Amino acid sequence: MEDRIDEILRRTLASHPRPQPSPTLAADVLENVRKLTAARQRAEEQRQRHGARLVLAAYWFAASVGSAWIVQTLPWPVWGPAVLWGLALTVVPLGYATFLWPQSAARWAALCFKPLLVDARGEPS
Amino acid sequence: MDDEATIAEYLRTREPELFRVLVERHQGRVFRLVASMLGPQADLDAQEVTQEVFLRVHEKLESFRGEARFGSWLYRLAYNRAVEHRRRARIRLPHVPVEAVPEAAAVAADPFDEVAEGERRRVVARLVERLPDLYRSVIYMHYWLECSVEEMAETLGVPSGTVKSYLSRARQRLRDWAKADGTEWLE
Repeated sequence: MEDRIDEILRRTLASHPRPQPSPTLAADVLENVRKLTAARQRAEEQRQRHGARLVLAAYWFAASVGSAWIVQTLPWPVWGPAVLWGLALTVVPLGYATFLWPQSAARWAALCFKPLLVDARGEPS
Repeated sequence: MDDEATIAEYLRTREPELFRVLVERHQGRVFRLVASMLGPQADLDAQEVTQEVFLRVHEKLESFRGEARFGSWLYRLAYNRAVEHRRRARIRLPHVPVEAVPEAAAVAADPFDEVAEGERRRVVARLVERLPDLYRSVIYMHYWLECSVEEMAETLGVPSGTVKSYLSRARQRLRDWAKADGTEWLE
C-alpha cells in the first residue's frame, strides 16, 4: 500500500520541472538591498531636514516675538510706530522680491540708485 | 567563517560581499522551502518570495541575537513568508490547479492508460493541495524537489525521524481522503 501511493506521488510530482533559484539571485538581492538602503537614507535625511526647518522656524518666531516686545518697551517718539510700520511694509516685500526674483530686484535697485550714483560721480573732489 | 561570525562581521563593516556570502550559502535551501510551500504552480512566485525573504533578513539582521542558529531563524522566516504569500495569493488570484501546469511526463502508449493516468494525477494533485502547510511542503520537497530526508530535516529544523513521521502521516491522510472519495486505486 505504501509503495502504491509512493509510486503515484512520485509519478505525479516528479514529472513537473524542478525549479532552480535564479543564477543572479544573490546579485539581485544585493542590488535591492542597496536600493532600499539608499531610499531609507534619503527618507531619513529628509526627515532631519524637515526637523531642522521646524527648529529654525521656531527660533525665528521666538526671536521676532522677543524683538517686538523689546522694541515695544523702548521710549519711542509719537511717530516711531509709523516709521516702523513703513519700514516693515517696505523692507519685507522688498526682501521677499529680492529672494524670489534677484535679477529683477537688482535691475530695479540699479534704476533707483542710478541718479544718486551719477550725482556722486559728478561732485568735485 | 560560520554564519554567526559572518553576520557579526557584516554588521560591523557593512561590507556587501559578506551578505552575498550568506545569501549564496542559503539560497538553495530557502528557495526549495519556498517552492515546496507554493507548489509547482507558482515557480515564478518562488523566485520573488525568496528575494523578499533575504530582503527581510537584511532588515532584521540587527535583531538576530544568535539565540538560535542563523539557518533555523532564516528557514523559519522563509516558511512564514511563504505561508503568508500563499494565503494572500489564494485570496487575490484564481487557483491554478497543479495538473494545469505543463508537464515533462512521458505520454502513455495506450490512450486508455493515458486517460486513467491523467485522472490519477488530477486526483493526487487535488488531494496534495488539501494537505496542511507542513505536510504539503514535505510531500513536495520529497517527491517534486527530490530532497533527501536529511535535507528536509535541516531545512525544517526538525530531526530526521520527525520528517519521516510527517511524510508517513501525509501519505496516510492522502490514503484516507482517497478512500473517502471512493478512489480505490490509491488504497
